[in-house]
Amino acid sequence: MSTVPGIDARTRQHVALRDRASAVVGVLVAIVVHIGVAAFGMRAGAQEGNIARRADQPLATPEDEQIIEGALLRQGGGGNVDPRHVPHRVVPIRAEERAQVSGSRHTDQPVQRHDAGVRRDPNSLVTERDIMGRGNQDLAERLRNMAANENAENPSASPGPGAPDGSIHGTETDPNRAGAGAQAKIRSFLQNRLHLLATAPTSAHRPFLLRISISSDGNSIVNGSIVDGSGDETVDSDLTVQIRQLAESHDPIPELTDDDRLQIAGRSYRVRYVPD
Amino acid sequence: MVRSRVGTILVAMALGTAALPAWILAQTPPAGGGGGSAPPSGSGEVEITLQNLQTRLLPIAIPAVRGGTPQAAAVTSVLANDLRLSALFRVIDSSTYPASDADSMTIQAPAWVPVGATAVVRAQATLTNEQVTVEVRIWEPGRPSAAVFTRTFGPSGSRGVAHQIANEIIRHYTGRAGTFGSRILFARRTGRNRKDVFTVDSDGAGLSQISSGRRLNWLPAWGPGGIYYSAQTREGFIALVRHARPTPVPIVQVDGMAMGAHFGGGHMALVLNRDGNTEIYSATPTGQNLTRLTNSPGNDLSPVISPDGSRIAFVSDRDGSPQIYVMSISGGGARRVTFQGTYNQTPAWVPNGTTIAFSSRVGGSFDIFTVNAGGGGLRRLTENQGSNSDPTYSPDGRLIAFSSSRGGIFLMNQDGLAQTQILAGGGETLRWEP
Repeated sequence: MSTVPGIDARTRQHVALRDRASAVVGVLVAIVVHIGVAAFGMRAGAQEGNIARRADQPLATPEDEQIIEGALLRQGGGGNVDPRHVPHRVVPIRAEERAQVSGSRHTDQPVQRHDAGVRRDPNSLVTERDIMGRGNQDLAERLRNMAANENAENPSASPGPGAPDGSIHGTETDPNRAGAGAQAKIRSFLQNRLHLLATAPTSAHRPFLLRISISSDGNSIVNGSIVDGSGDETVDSDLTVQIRQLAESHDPIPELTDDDRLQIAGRSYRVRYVPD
Repeated sequence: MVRSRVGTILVAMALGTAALPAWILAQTPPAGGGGGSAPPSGSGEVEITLQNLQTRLLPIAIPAVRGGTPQAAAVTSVLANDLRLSALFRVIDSSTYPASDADSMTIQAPAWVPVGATAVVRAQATLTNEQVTVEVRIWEPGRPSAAVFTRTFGPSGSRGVAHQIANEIIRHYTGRAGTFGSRILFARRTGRNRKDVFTVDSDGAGLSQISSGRRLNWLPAWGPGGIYYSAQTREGFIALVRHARPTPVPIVQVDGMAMGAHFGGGHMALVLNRDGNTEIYSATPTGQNLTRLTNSPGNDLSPVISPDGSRIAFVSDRDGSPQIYVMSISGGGARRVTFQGTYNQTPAWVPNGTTIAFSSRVGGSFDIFTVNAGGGGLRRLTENQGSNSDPTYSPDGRLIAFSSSRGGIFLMNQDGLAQTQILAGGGETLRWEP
């Protein structure tokens, strides 16, 4: 065994004990510091959905709500603000379409449809978060969720004349666009149920205009008449029979939702045939 | 003075203020509408546009012709069958007809709407010396104020009257009369090494044997004065003959084969085989002035003259496989019009001369196609329905008769739809009476 010359054994023992204690303290301090840093980091990353936050913890604090409300008031100019109109370039989608869109791996969450102008976050497939314009990302997401939840929880509300996508929500005032989804279903129904006669060649087909009325329950066609005939008396006579048959049969217009029925109940439509 | 003016202004303002809400109310449409079928004002209606509506057969109801005789019943049956075969009408099942509206020459229009009848035929038959006279009225429930068609047919036999009625109903609804009552000519095997020529009415009734029943009699054609066909002579040659009782009249007889004649435009085209190679010739309908039209190393056969008499479609294997060609009536400018398929045969002109139907071998069976007379525009009319061949157009071009391995002679419309068997048993080289 080799020894350090000039230092006695007692001194060497004392130095050894002191070094050991320092090492232990150093290790403990390092552990505490690392735990602290890790906890801080996980806490800070809670919005990303990591394990630092419990699943049942609310997403926003009352302070957050106040901030959101303030932001809404500013964006809405101080008037009544409909949160469904505020989210960045995101439009609500109809309930029947929602089931068909599977953009989220969480199938119980409402899914948003993005318009063509939204910038897609390349990491969104992992994080499921989109860059929703400039500003507060959390606020934008929150507003989007508010709009989607409201639309999903109260689909029968009819505050306005309808939205271009066919839902009854929105501010669309053009009757040709409001309720367009229901109109598309009426159109599809008529396209399948009305026919032209094979006795007339296709080249002889002429335009005509009908008027149909929808029942008060919004379910079927209850009346119809020719406004402008095709000019071919047999074709017009045949159309008359077809419309009367439709009205008498009360065959339901397929795939109508409650929204649709509410939108079309008791209304009448002009049905124009335009040959190729 | 000033006070009175101020008072006037104040009164006017008050009246204006009171009138404004009333004016606004007058401009506002009633909310909701309330009623289920009340038509709203026209300006507020939404317009829906339809395009590309499908076509459907005209639904027609043919209640029993009144008269209480077998002839009246026959008229009902033949008329309904003709309209069904026309591929223009859907004859509504008589079991759905309203019983409350059975015994009249008029109709109760509302009773026919649930049936879906666009037209209802009312007819009354009277019988005189076994000849039937039928008064016909057609009513349309969509415009029931008056009959849209009123005519009397006959006196004639019940089948003839029924065909006349059917043809005129078709004319009423399409502008062109039907062709029921015409016949279809064809050949079929009647024994070992034997074939014979037959005719059948275009509704499948009245099958009649034309040729004698001895040896080979086949490749029939309609021509001046009746029916022509190729017949095997006692010497073993094949001669072109015109049907006559009791003995056929020879038209072209050569040392070899004279067969496959077709008539049109004052000409006759036929196939002669004098030296082991079949070539197409033209002649007068009586067989004079034989002129060779083709001169190719391959076989040229099955000539059919176009309806305007200016062209001949024929089959040739000059390019290695049987294909359809078109040449002028004088024999020049032969042009191949089919390029798909390895075995195309039995061409037939559509009456307007724009299209040629033919049969083509696909796999192990034949199917019917059409091609533009100038080439191109190939369309397949039959598919996965057995082997189908020997097409021939009705005189109005709306129907095609053809032979099918499904069993006999069938009709279909020019789009290959509404295929219906009219005659059981085989048939080849079908020719519809012009």
